[in-house]
Amino acid sequence: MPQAVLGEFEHHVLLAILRLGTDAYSVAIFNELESSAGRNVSLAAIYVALRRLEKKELLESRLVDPSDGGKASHPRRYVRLTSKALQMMRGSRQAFLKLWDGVEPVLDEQP
Amino acid sequence: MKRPSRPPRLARFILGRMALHRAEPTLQGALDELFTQRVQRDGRWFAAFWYWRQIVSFAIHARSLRRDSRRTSHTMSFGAMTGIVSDIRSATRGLVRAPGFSAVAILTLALGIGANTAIFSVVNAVLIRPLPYIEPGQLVTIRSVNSEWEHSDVPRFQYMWNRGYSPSMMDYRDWIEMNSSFQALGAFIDGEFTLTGADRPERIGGARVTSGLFHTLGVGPLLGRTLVAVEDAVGASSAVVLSHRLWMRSFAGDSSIVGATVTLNDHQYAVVGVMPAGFYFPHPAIELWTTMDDEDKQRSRGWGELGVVGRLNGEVTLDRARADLSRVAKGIADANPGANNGDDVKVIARYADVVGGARPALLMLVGAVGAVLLIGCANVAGLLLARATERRKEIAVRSALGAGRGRLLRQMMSESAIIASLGAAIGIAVAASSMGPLKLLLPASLPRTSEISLDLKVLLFAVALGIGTAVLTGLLPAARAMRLGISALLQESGRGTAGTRGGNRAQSTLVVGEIAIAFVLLVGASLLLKSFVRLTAVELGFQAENVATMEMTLSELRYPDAQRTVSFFEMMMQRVAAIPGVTSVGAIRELPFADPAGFGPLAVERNSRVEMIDIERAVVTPEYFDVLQIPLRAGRHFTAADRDGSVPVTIVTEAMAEEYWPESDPIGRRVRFPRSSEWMVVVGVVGNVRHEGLTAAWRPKLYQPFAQAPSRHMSVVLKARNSPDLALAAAHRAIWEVDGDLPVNRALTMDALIGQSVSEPRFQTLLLSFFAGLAGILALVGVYGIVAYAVAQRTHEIGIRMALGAAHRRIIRDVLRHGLVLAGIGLAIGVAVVWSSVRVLDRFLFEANAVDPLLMVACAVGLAAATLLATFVPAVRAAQSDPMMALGRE
Repeated sequence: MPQAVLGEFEHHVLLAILRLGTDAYSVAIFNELESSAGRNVSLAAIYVALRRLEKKELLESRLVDPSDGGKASHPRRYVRLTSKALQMMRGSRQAFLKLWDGVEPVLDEQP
Repeated sequence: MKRPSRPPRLARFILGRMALHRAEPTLQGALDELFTQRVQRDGRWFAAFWYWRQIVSFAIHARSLRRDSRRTSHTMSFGAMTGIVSDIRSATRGLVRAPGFSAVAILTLALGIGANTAIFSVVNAVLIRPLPYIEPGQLVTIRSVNSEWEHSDVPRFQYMWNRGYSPSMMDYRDWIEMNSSFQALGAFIDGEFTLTGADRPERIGGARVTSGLFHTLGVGPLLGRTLVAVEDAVGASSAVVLSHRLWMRSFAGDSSIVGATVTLNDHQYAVVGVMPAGFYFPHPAIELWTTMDDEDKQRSRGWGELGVVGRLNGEVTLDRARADLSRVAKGIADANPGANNGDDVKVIARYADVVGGARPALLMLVGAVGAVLLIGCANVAGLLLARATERRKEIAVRSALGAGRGRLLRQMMSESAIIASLGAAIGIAVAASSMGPLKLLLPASLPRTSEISLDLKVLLFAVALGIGTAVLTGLLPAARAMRLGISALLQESGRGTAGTRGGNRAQSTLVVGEIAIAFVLLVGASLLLKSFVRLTAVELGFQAENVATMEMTLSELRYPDAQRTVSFFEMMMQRVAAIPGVTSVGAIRELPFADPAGFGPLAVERNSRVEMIDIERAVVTPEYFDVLQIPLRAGRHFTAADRDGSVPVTIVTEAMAEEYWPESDPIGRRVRFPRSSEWMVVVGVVGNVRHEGLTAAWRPKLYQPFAQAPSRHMSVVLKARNSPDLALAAAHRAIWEVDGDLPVNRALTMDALIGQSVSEPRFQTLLLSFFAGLAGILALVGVYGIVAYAVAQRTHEIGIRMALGAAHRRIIRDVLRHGLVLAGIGLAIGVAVVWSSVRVLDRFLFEANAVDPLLMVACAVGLAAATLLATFVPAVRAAQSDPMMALGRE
C-alpha cells in the first residue's frame, strides 16, 4: 500500500492536534505550534496544511457555527485525527525512536 | 473600558477581496481572534504589522486554498483568478464586437498617454534626474554680487543682482582659505579650444579648471587621473582631462592617449585622464578640462572671470554657507576697497542654478498635456457610460442570477483596463516615435536635453498613467452599473424611456468638464500665439535677409600682434568680397544674437564735465553697418583712414546720443575708457540694434573701429545677392586659402541665429497650441458622442413627437439646444478658471496682457460654434429618422 508522505510541517501540525485533543482548531493549533515548537508560522500555512491533511484522509473536521451553540462569536472548524493518521503517527514515532536509539550519547558528546 | 482594537481596515478589505471566505468560512474569524491576542500581548502597532504579514501570506497561499476548497453544489463561485481571466476574455469579446468604439477609445487614450509620456521624458531628464555627480544635493554655485544692488530700483542692477558676476582667482583662493562651510571648492572658465594635429583643425568646447573642481564634483576618472593640486601652481606643466565622447570621437577610444600630448590653441597639453561616459561639467558641450593658464593663475583681484562650484559640509545649509562666505567676502572687500568694494556673494543650489529657469515652462506643459489626458479620460468614460447604460439588461440578468457586486464591478472595470492597457502600449510607442521631432523642437537654452530618453522611470510613468486612466475611465460607469438595482433596471429596460436620467447627467457633467478644460487650454495657447507673433514682428534695427555669418578666433602664437591680426582680416575680407554673389563683407567682435554684449565703464564728456557710465560696446570694421543696413542718423561711418595712429574715433547709437547728449549735437563729443588716456571722438550716430534677443530693450551702445581696437576673435558678416548658404560655403574656402589652420565656427545665416533666439517661446507656443488643438478636438468628439447617444436614446420619443406632427426644424432645434447648453455651462466654468488663474501665463508673454477679454470672447465663440457643428450631425439625423422605424425600435 502506498504510504502517504508527510512533510515536517504537516507532522508538527498533526502532533499539535494530538496535544490539543478536542479543542483543536486553527487558532489553537497556531498558538500550540508557536509555544511548544517555537515555530513562527503563518495562519495561511496552517490552513493549507489542514486542507492537505484532510485530503489525505488524515483529518476529519466539523464546522461549528455560533448559531449552532458554538463558544466563539465566529465559526470555527474543529479537527481531529483519523484512525489512519493515528496509525501513521504511531509508525513514524517507532521509526524515529529506532533511528534515535544509540545516537543520543553522540549528540551529548558534541559541543 | 478600553475600546477593542480592530484589525487594519485596508488589510481586512484586501482579505475580503481575495474571496477566501468561500473556500474557508472560519478564516476571517480566526485571523481576528489571533489579532486580538496579539494586541494584548505585543501592542497595537506590532499586531497591525503582524496582521499585514498574514495578509501577504494569504495572498501567496490563496491559490492553494482555493484549489483545495470544499466546493458545494449551491455555490456558483469560481476562484477569483479564473474569474478575472473570464472577465478579461468576455471584455475583449465585447470590445472586438464594437470595433469603432474600441478604436476611438484606445486611440484617445494612446494619444493622451503618449503625449504625457513624451513630456514626462523631458521633465524626467531636465528636472527629476539628479545631476550626474556624487551627492548632488550638496553642490552649490557661488557668484559675486554687489550688496548695493540688492535694493536698487535700476532694472539693470536688479538684473545684475539676480545674475551675479564672476569672482576673481584671488577672491576664490581667499574663499577656500577662510570659509568654514565647504568641503571643497572648484573654479572653472569655460571657453573654446582649437585642437590641431588631426586632418582638420577642430574647435572644441572646453574649460580651464582648478584641481579642486573634480574633487568638488566627486567624480573620478575612467582612465588615468584628474588634475592635482600642484598643477594649480604658477609654472606647472599644462595637463588636460578628456571627456569620454571626445576620447571616442577624436582618439578612437585609444587608452594609450593617457600620457600622450595634444595641441590645444597651439600649446602642448599632456593628457592625464579620461572621464567616464555621461560625466559633464558645466554643460554637455564642454568636452575637455585643462589646467588654468599661468595668466589665469596670476590675474589681479579685479579680474573676475571664474565660475565657482562648492560642496557643502554635511550639515551646513545654504543660508549658513551664504552667511559664512558673505562674512569672508566682506572681509576681502574691507581689505581691498579698490577692487572689491561692496562685494558680497550668492550661494545657489547647483540644481536650481542649472535647471531653475526651465521649470515654469516645463510645468506649464505638464499641466497642458495632463489636461489633454483628462479630456481623453472623460471621453472614454463617457463612451463606457453609454455602453454600460446599453448593457443594463445584461447587468440586471447577471445580478439576478447571483453575481455579486464585486463580480459586476470587476467585469465593468476589465473593459476599461483593457482599453487603458492597449492605450498605454500604443502611447509608449507614440512617445518613442515622437522623441526625435520633440528633441528638434526643444529650445537650445533648455539644460540637460542630451539626457532625454525613454528610461525605466519614464516607462513606469506610462504604466502608472495606464492604471490611472483605467481607474478614471472605469470607475464612473462601473459605479453606475452597481448602483442600479434590479428593479430599476427591469423598469428601465421596458419600452419608451429616454435612457437613464442619471447616466445622461453623468455624461453631461463629463462633457461640460471637457469643454471647460479645452477652453482654458485654447485661451492659453492663443495668448502665447499672440505674444509669439508680436515677438517675431519686433524691429531688429538691422536687415537680416541674405546675411550669413561665421565666427573665428586667431591663434595667439601665429598672430601675436595687432598688425598681423588686422592684415589677416583685411586680406581675408578682400577674398570673401571677391566671391561672386557676395555684395558686401564686414566683421564685428560682438555679433548680435550670438555673442554676449560686452559691457565696460566709460568716461563721457557731458556739459563740460566728465561722467562715468557703464556701456555696451562693440568693435566693427567700416563695412559692418552696410552689410546689416544699420541706418546712419548723423555724421559719418568709419573709413579706412580711421587706423592705428590716427585720431581715435567712435560711433554711438541713437539711444546713447539721446541719453547723454539729448539737447546738443553728439558729433564731436568725446569719450574715454578709464584705463586709456586717449579720448575718442564721436564721428557718427547709427540706429539702435537689439543685441541679446527680441525681448531686449534698446540700450546705449558704442562702436569702435577694428583697425583701432583689433581683436583676434571676430565674426564675419556677409551679404549675399541670392543664397547666403552658397556664399557661406565659398567664404569657407576663401578663408582657408588665407589660413588653412583656422577653425571656422557658427557658420549660419543671420535668420537662423535670430530663429535660435526665439526657440524657447516657439517651443512653448507650438506645443501648447498642439495640445490645445488636441484638447479641442477631443472635447468636440466628446460632445458629438454624448449628443449622438442622447439622440439615439430618444429615438422613440422623437418618433412619437414627429408622428404627432412636430416639425423637423423643431426637432433639430431641441437637439442643438442640448449641445449648446452643455457648451455654455462648460464655457462659463472655463471663463471663471481663466480669469482666476491665467496670470500664471504672464511670465511667458511678451507685450501681451494675460487677461484679454476680446481674445477670450473669440475663443468662446469659436468653441461654441464648433460644438454646434458637432451637435448638428446627430440633430439632422434625428430629424430625418422615420417615425415608424423609430417607434418600432427595441
